[in-house]
Amino acid sequence: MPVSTPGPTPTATRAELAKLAARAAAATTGVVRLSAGTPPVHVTDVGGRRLEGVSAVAAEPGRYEVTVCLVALPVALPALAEEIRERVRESARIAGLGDALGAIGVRVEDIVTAPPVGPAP
Amino acid sequence: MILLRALVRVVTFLLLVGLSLAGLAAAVSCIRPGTGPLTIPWAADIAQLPDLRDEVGGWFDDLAADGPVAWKSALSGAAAMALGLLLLAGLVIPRRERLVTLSRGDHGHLVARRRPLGQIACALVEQVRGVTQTKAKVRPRRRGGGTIKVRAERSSSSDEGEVCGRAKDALEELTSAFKLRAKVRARLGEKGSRVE
Repeated sequence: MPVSTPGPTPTATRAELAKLAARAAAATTGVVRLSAGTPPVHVTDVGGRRLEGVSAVAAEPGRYEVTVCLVALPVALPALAEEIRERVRESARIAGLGDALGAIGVRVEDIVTAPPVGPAP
Repeated sequence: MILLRALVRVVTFLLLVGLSLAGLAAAVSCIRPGTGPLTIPWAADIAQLPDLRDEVGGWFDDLAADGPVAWKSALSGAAAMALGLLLLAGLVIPRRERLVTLSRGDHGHLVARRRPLGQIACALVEQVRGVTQTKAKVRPRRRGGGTIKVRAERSSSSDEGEVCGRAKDALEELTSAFKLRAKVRARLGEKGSRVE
């Protein structure tokens, strides 16, 4: 009797999509940081850890709609949203989760004029 | 703000403790017979009910009879009930999130809170010649898009119409990309305002 390899569980897929979306969005030029939002609804539980700034909601069967909530620099928002979508799609494709990714929403929580300056290395 | 919130929590807790103790005392008083402590006569004495009856007895007679006092009381009662319902509605009905939907499609949506859009509008209009200060208010529409109202202060040497026109042109980049409508008002700035 053939034994099929079990695929990732829905929870794992959701968490993985949230993680890669957060990573891809945070690396986009024009994004200062991710934000959980007000009220803080854009939070995903990733293995018991709170991942702030991204939510993955089940849409069609086997697909998740991802929303990224962010603080941005004053840049053209449609272009920024499109770049984030491209990056998230690409990351999902590389991770083999392209089919599980549904629509990608972008929520601009705030605009800041300059990125926060970190401590000197 | 944090201190005030903590204070509100402490006061609320103390009030609730007091209320529950008073309720407990009233409940025990109702079931204990006799005239000693924690009985109905004792509770009535504590609440000074006999004195109160003497004081408001006449008013109760007026209330029971047909007349202006009865009508005023009925209206006041109805108003109190309406106020209570409004307060309950304010407490129970969730606040609508005031987000402006900039675009929506199969690929996803782009939404923004009102504040960043207002900030962008202010930043754009503040670069217009003759403008000294700006304030922007964004009002989202339910079906996407919304209205941006910008109130600009201008220098005395500038013309109101020209400033409004230029401000609308400056906002074009923001409004044309999304379903946003710009309303600009330019008024003379206060003494001391300078063009930056």
